Amino acid sequence: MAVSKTVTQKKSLMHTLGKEWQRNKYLYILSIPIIVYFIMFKYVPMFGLTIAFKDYNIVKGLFASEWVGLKYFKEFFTGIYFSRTLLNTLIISAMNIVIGFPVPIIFALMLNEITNNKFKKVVQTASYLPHFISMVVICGMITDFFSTDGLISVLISKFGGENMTYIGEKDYFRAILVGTDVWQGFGWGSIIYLSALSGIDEQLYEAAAIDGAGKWKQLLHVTLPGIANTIIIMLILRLGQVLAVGYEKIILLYSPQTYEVADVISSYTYRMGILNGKYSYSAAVGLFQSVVNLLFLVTTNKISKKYTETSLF
Amino acid sequence: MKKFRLTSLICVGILCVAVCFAGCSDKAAVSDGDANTFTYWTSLPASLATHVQSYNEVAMYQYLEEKTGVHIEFIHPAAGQENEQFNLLLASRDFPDMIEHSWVSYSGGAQKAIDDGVIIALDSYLDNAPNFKATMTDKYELSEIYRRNSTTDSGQYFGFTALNTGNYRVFGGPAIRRDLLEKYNLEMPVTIDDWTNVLTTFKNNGISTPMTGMISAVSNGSELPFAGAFGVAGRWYLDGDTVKYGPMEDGFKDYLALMNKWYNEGLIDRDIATNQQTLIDSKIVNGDSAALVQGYLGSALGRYLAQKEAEDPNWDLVGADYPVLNAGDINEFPTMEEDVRKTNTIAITTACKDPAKAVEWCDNLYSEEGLMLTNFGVEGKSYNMVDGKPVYVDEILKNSEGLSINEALQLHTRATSAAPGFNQAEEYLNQYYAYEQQRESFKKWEANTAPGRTHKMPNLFATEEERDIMTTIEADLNTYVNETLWNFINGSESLDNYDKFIETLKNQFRIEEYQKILQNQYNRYISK
Repeated sequence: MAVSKTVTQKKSLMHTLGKEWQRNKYLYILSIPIIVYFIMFKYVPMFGLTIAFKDYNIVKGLFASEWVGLKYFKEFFTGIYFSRTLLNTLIISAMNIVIGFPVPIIFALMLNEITNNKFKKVVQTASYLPHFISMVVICGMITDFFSTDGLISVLISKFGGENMTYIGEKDYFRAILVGTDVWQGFGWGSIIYLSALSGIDEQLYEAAAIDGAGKWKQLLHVTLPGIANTIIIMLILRLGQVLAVGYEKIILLYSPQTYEVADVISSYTYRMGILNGKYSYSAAVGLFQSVVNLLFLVTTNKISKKYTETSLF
Repeated sequence: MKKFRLTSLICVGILCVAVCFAGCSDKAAVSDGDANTFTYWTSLPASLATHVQSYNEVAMYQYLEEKTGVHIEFIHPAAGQENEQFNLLLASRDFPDMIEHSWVSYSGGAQKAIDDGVIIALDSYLDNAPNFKATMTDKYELSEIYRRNSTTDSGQYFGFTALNTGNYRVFGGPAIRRDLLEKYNLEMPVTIDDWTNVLTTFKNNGISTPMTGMISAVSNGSELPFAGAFGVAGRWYLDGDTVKYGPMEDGFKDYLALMNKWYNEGLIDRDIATNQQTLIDSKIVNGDSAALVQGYLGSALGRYLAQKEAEDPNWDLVGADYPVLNAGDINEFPTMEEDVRKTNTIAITTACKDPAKAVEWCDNLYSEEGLMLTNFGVEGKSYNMVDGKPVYVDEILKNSEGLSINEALQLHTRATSAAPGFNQAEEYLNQYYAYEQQRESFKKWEANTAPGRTHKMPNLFATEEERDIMTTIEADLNTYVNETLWNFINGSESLDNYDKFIETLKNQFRIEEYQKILQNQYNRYISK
């Protein structure tokens, strides 16, 4: 009895799969390169993570290098700069989330209210632009603008501030870093919210209007609930990158003058691992970062599932 | 709809094929096994790569092929990725016959590369290389130094190194606008007090940032001209046979005090830590600054002079004497090149089937003819002998297609950057440095060469164990030192805390352990 049940189940599963294939085969074929990409560049390299537990020697290779257990983890956790880099990472990341996360949402909501289509398109396109400029160029611009006699330093001095190298000052470094991050990403980040906004049923607005809701009430009771799911998903994903503050921008902007506030785990690891060729060490730190990030992702996902019934998985 | 499906299918197909090709594209260059063909891995300077595909198109290598009958198949890593590709090459264990790289920095030292079975020791092939052998034994005044830097700690020759010839090693130093000195009736500054006086006068006459430059040299270990006046280098140096660390020595505090004073008085660039080359350029060219902490001969003096030549013929930037405390002293810490470069050493790999022949080919670079080839190219093509001296032809100095001297020389020689064999021949420098100010500067700085040499760290080899400890100490140490030195200069940390800084170096950053390792390495070096 049980056997025959599984057989029919199997058969029907095969059947459904076959049907599914018939219907969407081009989509599946289309996704092959992506799947290959993930296997080749994301899953296969995971085996390389073992070097975090080995004394990796490039000549001996992955397999012949000796096992050293948690040596490099210990080295990292007991390192002189561990607490400072961890703290900097968390602070910069928190600033990024607190300031950087709401901006695209607000921007999308504002865009959504614009009725002149031409103007809307222009604003949108202009806001995407910084996203497409190479990081090196952006950082070149930032250092230039925030240096003595740079564009922004001069502007600040016109309003009574001091004309100096703001990028080299401890007090301003994080603000510049996060502020420019927001500027660079808010247009691009708003796309997903705009698409969610366009999915809200027009009838809801009509009904709300008939019930006497003004623009503000409509925003609060129709628009925001309409994109709440998207916001939560994006927040969960964002929290999953809490420790992944990118090093590219920081190493392009910092200097020994600002190490104290700018040195994050990834920039520190870059100096340690890449400049000094300590591959195992950087692998260990990378693994630590990923594990913490995963924990954050899973926890926020759980919390969200419990209270809002929205979750990634 | 059908059309759309077809298009997407084609797109997918193209993608798949592209992925396959991307996976297996760089497997083409393998020696064809011909006894007279050798593969040779070496980087191709980016400025040359825009003109040629490989060194086979460069005149000196064409000449060598004609002379020896040996064909070289060059393998050039992508510019800027030399180190990554070198590491990949090692990991693949699929070696070419010869590899030109920095074997000193091979993890564990060149001896380790021999023990790992990557390269071979040249000792048993020395008879195939009479010129190299003579160079290393007694042919030159510097032979002893050449040999020590070309052998491992156990005395084995590990490769054909890049040697410097002549006496002009110093390639940069403080530079100042001579026309402004004359304008304000000032003498060329010699002592630190002179400098303070000159910079203050400049400042009072409206030059907003009298001296600019980058002292981030602290982080890459270059000597600091002004620290030298206090008898210390920026980092590790030799004092007799003792390895010392600049910031730990007496004079360094005084140096920092001077920098702090100049910083507070606005005599040096307040952006000196975060400076970018473009900012320095514009300050010098616009006249906001009138002196450079570190004026390199080619990239600073030569470039600025060329830029200002037409506009203002009186504009006169020239190297100043290395500063000293008291007139008559000699600054012993110039910014100079080693006698043997750490980079650009040709090693013969274990994959080479006929090492003797490869060694014979390399030996050509160490003869008198080789010296001429590397520095001047082929006679009649890129230079002619005039009164017993090589003189570049006009095609090199004033190229008809508008190439710079640098680019034109690269098409014929390897004079313009480090190369195996002999580098920096005197007549090359005299002609390469087109401006009188440049020649005057390097002749002026020649006085610092001999004492500078005694302080310069030679090519030291770390054992694997030593290297492991060193890299662990190094990264944190450099972070701390760079950061704290800055705080001392800009005043956010009082110099009263300097002793505490040294204590921290000793207690937390294991500086003495590091020093001891370097000392051991130096002892091994000196006893071979």
